[in-house]
Amino acid sequence: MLGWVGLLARLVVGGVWIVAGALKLPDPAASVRAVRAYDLLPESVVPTVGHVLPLVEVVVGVCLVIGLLTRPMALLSVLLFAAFIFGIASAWSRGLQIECGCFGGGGYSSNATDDYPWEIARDVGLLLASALLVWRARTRLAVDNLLFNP
Amino acid sequence: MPSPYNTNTSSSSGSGSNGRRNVLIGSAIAAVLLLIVGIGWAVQANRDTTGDDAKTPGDSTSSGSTPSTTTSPSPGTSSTAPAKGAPAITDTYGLGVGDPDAPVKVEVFEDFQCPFCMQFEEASHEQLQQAAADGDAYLIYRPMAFINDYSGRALNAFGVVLDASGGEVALKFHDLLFANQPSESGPYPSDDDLIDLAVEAGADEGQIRRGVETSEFGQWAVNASDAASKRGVNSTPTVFVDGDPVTGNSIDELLANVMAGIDAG
Repeated sequence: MLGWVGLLARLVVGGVWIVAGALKLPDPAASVRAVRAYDLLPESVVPTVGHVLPLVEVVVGVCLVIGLLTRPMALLSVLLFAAFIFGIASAWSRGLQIECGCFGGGGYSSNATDDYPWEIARDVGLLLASALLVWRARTRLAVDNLLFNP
Repeated sequence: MPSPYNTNTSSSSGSGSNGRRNVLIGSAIAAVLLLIVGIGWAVQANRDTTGDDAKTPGDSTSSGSTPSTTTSPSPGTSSTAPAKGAPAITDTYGLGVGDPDAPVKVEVFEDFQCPFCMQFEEASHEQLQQAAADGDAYLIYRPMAFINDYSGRALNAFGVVLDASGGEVALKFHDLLFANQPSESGPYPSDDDLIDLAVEAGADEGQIRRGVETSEFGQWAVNASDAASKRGVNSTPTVFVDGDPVTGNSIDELLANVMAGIDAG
């Protein structure tokens, strides 16, 4: 039973990562600006994060969907969501009015403050689903089941 | 070492070799994934031309006869410097209007595709131009392009006109671009439409057509947007008075606060 729940968690979390990453890939410069808008990271690493993050999101997403290296990928997913929740909460607490840039875009948004609670709630949900996969990485219909002997 | 998935302790010798095998496979896959991310990183960094060398408007002189140089001239040192107060390029990405030594510096960050910028232009144009003409403020338009493809094409055309025809014509072109702003969902003006507008502003079609069509100042436009982002501009219109952002809950309030800033100066 938990195996099927795990499959569902993999598909949902992985699907979100794929969409989020893929939407950001076409415009790396915009991705860099979205990272910069949070005003959290030093300028020296902002372009690197802006370029690499969408790729990592897609890779984590694909791996989760097909069930490849489920536990390490789910752990990475937990860490990423924790970072994003921190980023959004930090922007909120500093009174910044920015789009989270979660699915591309980013920068100013006039109704950002209304969106922050919902964005945080969404990311907490996805973090918990990822945590479930760290805890029970053995799931149904996963490539892991073919590659790794129990 | 038991594998992380191992729940069966009945055959310890078998689990040991399985564990080694699993670690080996896992490491190999992880290495491949890292490689994929690394290659993707190189591709993305390469596609992001932000900060690459760019030709800056004013590199070609207004006569159009001097071949362009690759170094950007320092603002204000050009031999063809216009009369004091006339619109001219400043700080690489800005169009300065009025006396650079005026008591207050007003910087307007805007995107040619941004509807609120158009509203701000309509509301502010007369008052800001007057403040610049009276010597109360040095007004700097800092166009940037971050909304869509048209943003970039319009900003490139603006750069071409600024380069070929000078600040006066560029300022008129700037006004016309806002007055003829397309809907964000299109249809967007063609290159010919942009050239027509530029000619209406006073540009010579022969001097600008190639630049508009070949995106001569496209890289400059990208760098302009990056420079604005680095100054913390995440939206347009954003107005700085003496380097500090001015806020307002509406366009009218924003303008009122800007004018108050000028009056206070």
